[in-house]
Amino acid sequence: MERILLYIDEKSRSKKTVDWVLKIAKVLKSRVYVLYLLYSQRIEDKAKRLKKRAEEIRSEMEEEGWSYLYKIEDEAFEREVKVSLFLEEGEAISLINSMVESYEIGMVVLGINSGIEIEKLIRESKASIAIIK
Amino acid sequence: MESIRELLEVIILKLKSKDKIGVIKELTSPLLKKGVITDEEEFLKAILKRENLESTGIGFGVAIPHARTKSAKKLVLAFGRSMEGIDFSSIDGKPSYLVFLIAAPEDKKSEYILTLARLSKILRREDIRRSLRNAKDEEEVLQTIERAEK
Repeated sequence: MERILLYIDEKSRSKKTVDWVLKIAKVLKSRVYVLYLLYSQRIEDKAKRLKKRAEEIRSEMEEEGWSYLYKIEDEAFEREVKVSLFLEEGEAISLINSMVESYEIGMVVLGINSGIEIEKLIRESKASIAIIK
Repeated sequence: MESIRELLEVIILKLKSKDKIGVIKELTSPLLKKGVITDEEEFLKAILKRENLESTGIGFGVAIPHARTKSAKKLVLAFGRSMEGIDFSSIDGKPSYLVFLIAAPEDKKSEYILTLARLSKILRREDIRRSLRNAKDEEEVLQTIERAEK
């Protein structure tokens, strides 16, 4: 398998999932495409809750997302695993499916705590799905 | 932590090199002269190792080659602009016009990651990329970065 997609959002950051993906990628000599997703609704909700502008919250969440991505990149570098980083805002399943098509992804990996409707993803995805508990 | 503007030690508005390795060397050279990087060979080895493992071309015409290495004496940035675009094996398959090279000492992991994150965030903004591509002088580059960080 040449390409693996690791899906992450701010509610499903898991060291265990990252470790698992990097181990598998090392063995299979795969490149890992790491997608960190920002949910527009969560940005709006957080802005309302904290009485801040959505733009301000988006900026904070973007920085947090990139920091997490670069930590994964550093970890992957130490283990000599190839990675590509993506930070996107939008709808999770359609973004995953679009990346599966564009980069010919063989397997999508996500933590069990991600906000994704897993059955729908399994039904619609052309790639294999691995869910890490 | 210092801002991106404060970390920016080198600005080259018109890169001469036409390929990735040439651009990395061109941006590294003034850092060597300033004594911020002490061992060119070691630094280039570290940065090219990363280039082989990662896509430092983050898309939108931007590349951020980076390395954490013992030959870097402090965390610094060098910015170069290419008019023709350079192949950095970007994730969107397009050439990179704006190149930010980051060098960091091995013990500055948190600052290094935060710098990468801040820079990536800033450079996702289309207005900032446009300003950097059109900047007439170094001062305009610095003003753009400062505006982006506010």
